[in-house]
Amino acid sequence: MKKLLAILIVMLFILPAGVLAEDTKTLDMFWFTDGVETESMKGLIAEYESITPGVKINLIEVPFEDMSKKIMMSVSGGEPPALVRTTEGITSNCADAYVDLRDYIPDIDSVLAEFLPSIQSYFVQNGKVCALPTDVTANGLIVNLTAFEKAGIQVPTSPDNIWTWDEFVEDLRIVMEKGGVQYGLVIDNPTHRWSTMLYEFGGRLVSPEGPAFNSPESIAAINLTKQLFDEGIIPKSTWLGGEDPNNLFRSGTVAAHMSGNWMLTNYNENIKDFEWGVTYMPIQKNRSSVPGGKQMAVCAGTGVEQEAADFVRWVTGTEANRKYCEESLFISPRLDNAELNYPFGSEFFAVFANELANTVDAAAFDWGFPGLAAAIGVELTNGMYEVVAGDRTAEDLVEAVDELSAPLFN
Amino acid sequence: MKRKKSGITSLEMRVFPYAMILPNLLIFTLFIAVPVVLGVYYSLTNWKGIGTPAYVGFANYAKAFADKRFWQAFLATGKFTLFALPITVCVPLLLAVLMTKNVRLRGVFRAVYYWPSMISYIVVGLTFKFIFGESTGVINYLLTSVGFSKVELLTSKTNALWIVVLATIWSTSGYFMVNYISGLQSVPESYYEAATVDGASKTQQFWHVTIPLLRPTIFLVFVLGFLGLFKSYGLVISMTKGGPAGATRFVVQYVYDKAFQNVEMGYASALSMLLTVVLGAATIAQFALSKGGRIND
Repeated sequence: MKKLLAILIVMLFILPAGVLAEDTKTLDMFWFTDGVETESMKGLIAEYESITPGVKINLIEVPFEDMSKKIMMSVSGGEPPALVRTTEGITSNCADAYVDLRDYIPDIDSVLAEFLPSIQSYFVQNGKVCALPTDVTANGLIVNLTAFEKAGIQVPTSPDNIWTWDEFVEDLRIVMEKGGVQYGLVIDNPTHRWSTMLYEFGGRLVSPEGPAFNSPESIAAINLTKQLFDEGIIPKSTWLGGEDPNNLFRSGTVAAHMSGNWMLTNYNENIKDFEWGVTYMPIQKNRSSVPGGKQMAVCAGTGVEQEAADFVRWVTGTEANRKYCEESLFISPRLDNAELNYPFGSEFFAVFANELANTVDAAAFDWGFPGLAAAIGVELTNGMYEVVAGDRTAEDLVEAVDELSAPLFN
Repeated sequence: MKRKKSGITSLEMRVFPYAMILPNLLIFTLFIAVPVVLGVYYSLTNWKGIGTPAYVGFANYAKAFADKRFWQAFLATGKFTLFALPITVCVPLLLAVLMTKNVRLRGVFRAVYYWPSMISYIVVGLTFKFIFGESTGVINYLLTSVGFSKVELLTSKTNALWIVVLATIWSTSGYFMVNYISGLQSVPESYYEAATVDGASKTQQFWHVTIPLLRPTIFLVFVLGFLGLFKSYGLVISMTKGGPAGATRFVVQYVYDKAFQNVEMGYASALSMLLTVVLGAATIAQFALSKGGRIND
């Protein structure tokens, strides 16, 4: 009798646990943080779990720089995550690890039509829907308004009176002289951010026909960049000495920062000593920004692909995405979320939106080109550093980069 | 007279030593030998980190021999090692000699000198960047605040290399100092007493007693220092990211970039294998030249 009772008690404890374990599916999600969006995503996850019994999402934070490596290692180790926060660069490296969402989300073409067509090449590669977008970014120009005002220079306030690059450089010289700043400009990196200049000058990395970096326009953009470093308008310490452009701008020693809308939260929280704002990028041959953004992908081989895809569909839907973008100060990639209520800086977002609307097609074509970022990224970065240091010519760099992108067209 | 029977059987004598090295052997096999074998396999493929590797024979090795960037990084690493190794060997020896003297607060000084070796290379790199950073660093801040102009530190190729050397020495000297202290304390005091009776000065004692008897430790520091310097990565990447313009882009960073930036895992494996062969050959050469650090040769 006692034995029977003991068995019954044990069963009582074990059975529900077993049932629970069988019913609850845990989805690991690799996530990197760009600003304040993690809290918003956690809130959305809690909401999704409450409306989807039996699904638990485990957010695992991974540094952005390590994301590709972490995905590759997890896949190699036989334990891929169910969900991945990805970018066009990460997708370029890890697309083979992701499922084609066509197999899990019904009527995917209608779903894709809900998003900005200009960024589709970032997550639809060779017909495979690798991910769905959660936000879109735009490169642009953030300025130290106090410094410009002190130097007596009016920054452009509408698309009708934007600077040419010559005017911009001249005004930066004046701001450095009279505006109380040591430097005129900082640019985040010589790849994605710098390419804004490339597209404004009329250059591009690749075209549908093949490598296209080697052009007079690209060379002119590179040479102007070098000139800005040589004149001391851009501090060499950023590209050659590893100093963080954000820190320099925040310290009030730089007049302008070529960066993107993801910096707004950071600057809003951290800059108290001077007034700053967003203005229009200068024009050369074209006006342009470079679209970017983050997406959510589902990894293959987890056994929970359908549950993960369901979450991706839900979190990129109108309501969840609106909440996410408003709370995180992001631009929505959804066409029906073009008008959002941000807690601050709506005028800044309007400028970024205008930059995106005036962006050349080559920008999204280049950065969404499968395998391009992996093939040329290191060479372009190191090559630009070498050009700035005077070790290499622009002509040599464009030739070398084209050589690396050529195999992608075979 | 009956011989006293030993408590250890011959079977135990045969098995016991192997049982003792078994845990280490397992760890070595799992974390060193297996990855090396896998590395050799991947080096013969075009693996991209995900998916099925395709066999390409020795194509990756042929590519490596023609890869100008790889050899530039190799050369930069060699230059760095050449500058840093003598200092890596000598500075800890100097510290160890001082720390074996009867100085006040010796324990405190030993702890202070050892402490940097416990700090992560990433933190060391960031700390030195905080000091030597060009626009936001402490040195240039102090210089400009007393009216001098800024100095090119991490943007000058020569200065950046020497700053990396300085940071490396600072972070590794404590560890090697402890090795030397152990070696110095094993030198019998009677040798110094005999040398003193023979009229040898302190300097003569150092060169003719201490150094010869310390040869095994010096050799150990030399080999470990050489390997550590040639594989420098964390400290450099956090301080200079390989800059300015590749002046401190060493070979491990190049291999890492190939693996995780260019996503050429097969090629990166081939580069790693080449690095292993070169470091192995250099270590064997060091053994041969110094006769394994033996004292009596």
